[in-house]
Amino acid sequence: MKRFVSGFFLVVLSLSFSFYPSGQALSSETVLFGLNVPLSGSYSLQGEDQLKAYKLAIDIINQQGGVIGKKIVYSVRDTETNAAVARKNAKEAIAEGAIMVTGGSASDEAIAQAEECQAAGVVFMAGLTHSNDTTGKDAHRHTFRWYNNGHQTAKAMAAGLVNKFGKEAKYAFLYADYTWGITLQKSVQEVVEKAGGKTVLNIPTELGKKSYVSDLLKVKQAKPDALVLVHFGKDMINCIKQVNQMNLGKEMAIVVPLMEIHMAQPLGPAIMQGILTSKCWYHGLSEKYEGSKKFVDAFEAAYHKKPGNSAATAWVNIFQYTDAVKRAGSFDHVKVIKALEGHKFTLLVDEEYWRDWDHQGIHPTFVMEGKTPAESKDEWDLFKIISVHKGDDVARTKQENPVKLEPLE
Amino acid sequence: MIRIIKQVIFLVFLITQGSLAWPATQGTRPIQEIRIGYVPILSQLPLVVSYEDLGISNRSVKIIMTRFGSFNGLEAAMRVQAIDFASLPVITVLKMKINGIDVKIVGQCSAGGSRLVTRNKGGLKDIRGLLIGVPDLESNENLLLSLVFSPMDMRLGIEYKTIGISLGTVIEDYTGNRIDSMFMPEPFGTIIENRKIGFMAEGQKDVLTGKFLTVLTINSSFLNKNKNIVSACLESIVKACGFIEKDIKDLKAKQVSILQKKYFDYDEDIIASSLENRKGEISFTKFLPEKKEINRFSEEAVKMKILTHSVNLDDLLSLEIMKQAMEKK
Repeated sequence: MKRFVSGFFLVVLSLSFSFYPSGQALSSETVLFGLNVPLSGSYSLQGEDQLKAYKLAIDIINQQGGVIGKKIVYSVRDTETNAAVARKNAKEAIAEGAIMVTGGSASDEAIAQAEECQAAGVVFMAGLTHSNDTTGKDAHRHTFRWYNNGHQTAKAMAAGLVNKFGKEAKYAFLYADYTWGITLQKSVQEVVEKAGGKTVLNIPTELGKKSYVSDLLKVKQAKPDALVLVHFGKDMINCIKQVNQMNLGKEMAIVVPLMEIHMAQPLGPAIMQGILTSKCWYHGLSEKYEGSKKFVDAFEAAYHKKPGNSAATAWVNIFQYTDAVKRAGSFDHVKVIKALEGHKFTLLVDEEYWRDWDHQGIHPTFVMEGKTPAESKDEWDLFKIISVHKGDDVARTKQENPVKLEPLE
Repeated sequence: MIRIIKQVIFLVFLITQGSLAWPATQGTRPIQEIRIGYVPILSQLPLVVSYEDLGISNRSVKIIMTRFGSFNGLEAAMRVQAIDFASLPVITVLKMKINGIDVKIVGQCSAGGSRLVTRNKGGLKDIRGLLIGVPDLESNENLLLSLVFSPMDMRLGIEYKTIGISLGTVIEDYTGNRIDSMFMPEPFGTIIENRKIGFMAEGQKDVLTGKFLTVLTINSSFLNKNKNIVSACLESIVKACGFIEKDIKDLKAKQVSILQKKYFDYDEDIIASSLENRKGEISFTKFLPEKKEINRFSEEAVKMKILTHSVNLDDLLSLEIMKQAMEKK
C-alpha cells in the first residue's frame, strides 16, 4: 500500500509587584541581562544556539553604543533542561540585578522563570517555549513569548494532516510528559479528531528517555496510519533514529509535531526527506526577507553555521526588548511592558506584533517538507516551504485562551 | 502465541542491531577529552573565558576544568598527568623538563599581572628588611625580585627575605602580619588596596610589572595524539584574549568580571578595577613567548640554584599550533 511505502514523516515545528530597582548592584554605565538556557541535558543544542544569538545581538547593540546610553553585560546560567534549576537560576540572576531575564528551551523551564520574574517585577522574554500554557494558563504580565505555540502549530498543520492521511486516519501519539508535550499532543489530537480522525494510542514518555523500543513495539501492534512523535531536542533525535532502525516508516507515516534545525541536521536528508513540518522561522527565509538575511549572515560570520529558530527567538527577544526600552526611554519594567504590548514591528519576516492581552508574538507559521538528498544543497538545506499561515489565522482567540494578565500598576 | 514469538524474534533482532543501546545523543563522532587546570588569578582569565566559549561551541571535545589552590598543586597535577594542559610559571616548566617530565610550551596568553604591595608607602629601596610573600620560592616573582634587587645591592636572604604563600591564604597572611609585603598575582594587590591596608611600591612599573610570567604548557604525549583538540583550545584562547581586551576597552571589564565569578569567585568590582586599571601592567595580547625572555629567567634560576642547568628551548617550545591559531584570529 502506497500510504505505507513512502513513510511520511510529518513534522510540525513549533516548538504585588516586589519592584526590583533597575540595575541594582550595577554600575551606572551598564545593565545586566540574565541569560538562562539549557547548556546540558536534552535541549542543550537548542540552548547553545540561543546563547550564541543572545551574545551576538548584545555585541551588535553594544557596538552601536548600547541602549539609552548604557552598555549591556550578561550573566549566563545553565538550566540543565530542568525547571527547578531554571527557577533557581532566575532567582539568582534577579538577585544580582538582572534588568531582564531571557531563556528557556523547555516550556516548564520558561514557565518557572516567568513566575519568578513576575514576582520580582522583572521582564521575562521567553525563549524557545512552545507550550500553550506559556501564554495561556501560566501567562504573566511580565512575560513575552515570540515563539509560536502548540495550538498555532496544530491549526496550521490541520489541513495538511487531513490531506495526507485522510479524514478517518488512525493516529498513535508518543509525547514528552510535561507541559509542552501534553499541550501540543492535546492540540494535535483535537484537530485530527475534529476532522474525523481516531486516536488509537497515547503514550507519555519521560524527558531524557534513552530507549523508546518498548513504546514503539506497542505502536507497531496498534497499527496506526500515522505515528505522532511529540518529542524535542536530543530526545527526538534518539526516538526518530529508533523509529528508523525499526523501519516503522514503511508501516505508517511518521509525524513529528515540533522540529528545529539542530534536530534535523544530525539526522540528514536521507532520514528527514518527506517529513512534513511547520516552523515559526527557518534560515531559508533569508532568501526572501532582508531581516532574516541580516540575522543569518551575522550568525554565520560569527559561528560558521546556520541559526535555528531557537537562535531566532533569542535574536528577536534582545532586539525587541532593547527597542522597547528605547521607545520607553527607560529600563523601568512598567514602561517597557507598556512599550511592548500591542507593538507592531518588522524584524525577521513581514510585520508582526505582540498581542497585548496574552503577550503572544503573532507572526506566520510555515508548513514545510523535508527535502530529498538530491534536493538538499548542503547539510543545513533540509526543508522547503509548502504553505504559509498568517499569525492571526492560527493563534488562539480570546475565547479559546481566556487569560487575564495581572494588573501592571 | 505466534504473535509473541514474532515479537521476541523482533526484539532479539533489535538488540543485535544495537537499537536498545542507541546513544543518548546523536553521538556520531567520538567524544574527545582534555583536562585543563587553572588557578584563580587574573592572568589565567583566558582559560576560563575560552572554556565558556569552547565548552559550548565544540561539543566533540569534552573539556574538564579543574581549579587548583596553588601553582604547586597545578604543577603536581601536571607531573602525574592528572591534567593535560595549564598555564604555568616558566621556571616551573623548565624545572619539570629537567626532571624528565615530557611537556611542551605551546604559547602564552597573558603578561604581567603581579605587583609588589607594601604596608607603608615607599619605593623599592624601602623593601630592605622586609619579608615578602611570593607564590613560591621558585616562582617567576621571586626570580624577578632577585633580578631587580641584585643590581641595587639588595641580596635575597640578607637585605630582604621571601616566603612562598598559598594563593588561598594571601590575604589572611598579609592581614595577620605573617608577611610585611607581597609580590603576588592580581587580584590580591587590588584587594589589599581596596581595603586600604597596603600600597603599590613606587618605581616598579615596567621593572617588576608587565613581565612575562606564565606559559601555556601541555603534556607532550597528549599533544602528539590530540593536535586537533590543542588547536581548538589555542584558537579559543586567542579569541578569549581578544574578548577580554575588548571588554576592558569597551565595558571597563564588566563582562569579564561577571564571567569570572563562576570560576574565581572574586568580587566583581575588584576584578573590574584591577583589569580596567591594568594593575601589574596585565595584558592579553602576547601569544608567543620569546626565547630571550625564557633564557633570562633560566639563567637567573641557575644562579639561584633553582635549576641545575639550562634547558634546550628548541626541545621545549612547540609554537606552530599557536601561530596557526593567531592567523585564524
